[in-house]
Amino acid sequence: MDQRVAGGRVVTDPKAEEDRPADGAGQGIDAALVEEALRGRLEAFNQLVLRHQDHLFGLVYRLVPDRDQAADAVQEAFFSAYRNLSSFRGGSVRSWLGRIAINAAMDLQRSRRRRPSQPYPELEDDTWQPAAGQEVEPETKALAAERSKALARALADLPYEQRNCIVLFDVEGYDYAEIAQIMRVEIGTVKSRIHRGRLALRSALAADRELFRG
Amino acid sequence: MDRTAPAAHAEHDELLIARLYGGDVDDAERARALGLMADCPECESLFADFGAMADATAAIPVPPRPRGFSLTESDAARLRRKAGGRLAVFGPNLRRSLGGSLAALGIVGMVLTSAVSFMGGAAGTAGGYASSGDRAAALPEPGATMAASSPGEQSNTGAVSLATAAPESTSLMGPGNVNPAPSAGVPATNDNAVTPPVASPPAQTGQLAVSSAGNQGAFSGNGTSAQTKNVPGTAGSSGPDARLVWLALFAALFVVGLAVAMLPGRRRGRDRGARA
Repeated sequence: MDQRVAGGRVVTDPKAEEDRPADGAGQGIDAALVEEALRGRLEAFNQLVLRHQDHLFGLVYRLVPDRDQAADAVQEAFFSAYRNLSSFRGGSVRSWLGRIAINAAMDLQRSRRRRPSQPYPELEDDTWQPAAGQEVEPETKALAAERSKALARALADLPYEQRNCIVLFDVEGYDYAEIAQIMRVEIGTVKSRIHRGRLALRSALAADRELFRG
Repeated sequence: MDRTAPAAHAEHDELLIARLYGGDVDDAERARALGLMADCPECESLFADFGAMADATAAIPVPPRPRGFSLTESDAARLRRKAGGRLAVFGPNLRRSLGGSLAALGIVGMVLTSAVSFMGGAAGTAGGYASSGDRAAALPEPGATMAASSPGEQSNTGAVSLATAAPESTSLMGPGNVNPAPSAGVPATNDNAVTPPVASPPAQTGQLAVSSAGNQGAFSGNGTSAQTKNVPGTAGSSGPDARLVWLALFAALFVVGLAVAMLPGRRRGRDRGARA
């Protein structure tokens, strides 16, 4: 089954998503590129980079609330992937790269425990706004921007262990066992981090609760 | 429906609602959580807020990446070198453990060897100046040839001459009865031996001539019997040379352990997850 239900929501399993027939061709391309890269063709590896860098940057950016740090983590993840290409045992390259990137982000978080002075600074930058469809009302767009800013600040205030678990569960769609495996902790620890993280997040957003309703 | 007043919400288990949202409840807990949500509007809105936050988290916009992450030829060459070097040695964790153990073993060995050496040296020194009471246990065997100590035989360098009245001694040596041959296992001549400041009286019948061979050994006699005993620290397999060898070995072990532990390694942490 490609989807699971959590909290009345349908969460798409990223691995199942990759197994869809539509992505079968993508996986085949990835596998071929890995083989070429293993033969020493750097261009093949860089093709993999081009195919997955946006996804990995988006993933890491939610874990590391700083664009430059996130970029550093993604770069380090690709370095690590290149070094360990021979240890790739098949399966989804996207998932494999995602795990490497998550670990790179966690290493970065451990080494830089200090919280950035201004998390998600891009959200405060009026010169950059996320792309929105033409059909979106200006009021809705402004509300969404405010909501994102408030949530980003609250997420950045969470301990990174809780933030990582919430992002991996809610955004990336990993289940508890997968997160436990990635983070190398007990599954009960993952559950506790997610549940308590949600409560902490809600408390932090108490003043902005109206942004999330309606 | 008679719903609980908001004031009562403080007593409700919010964590249970969070667990319900995460699908981490058994049947009994699910029933209890659903009961709370049915009775308490705060619990109900808590559950709804969890959903809104999760949706908003997924919708947090991602800015454009600041740069591309393609590898250059120099990056690839550097990474290939690292990978090759990594395979040549143990993993960093194992290497650190191994190196630390070797270094610790080296330190312990050096300390123990030094301690034994110190104690042996002290014993040897004490033996060299042993009193007559202590000398009883360190006598030459009966009939063993003893180095003479008499005014005429002071050429036997290193001999410690101790005079003890022993008229009944059976192993007496008269003046001129010199036999410089060493007794078994003990050299008769030692250039480093100590001669006590007490002048040795002229050897005569009934007087036991005691010769010390070795700077850490002592021969003495009580005039009634004679036996040989190796004093701890005397020359032999555990002598100063052997201890020096052991000390050097342990020092080498320590240095090798430090070198192994401090070998430059890769940043393994960032490779976690790469070994799928």
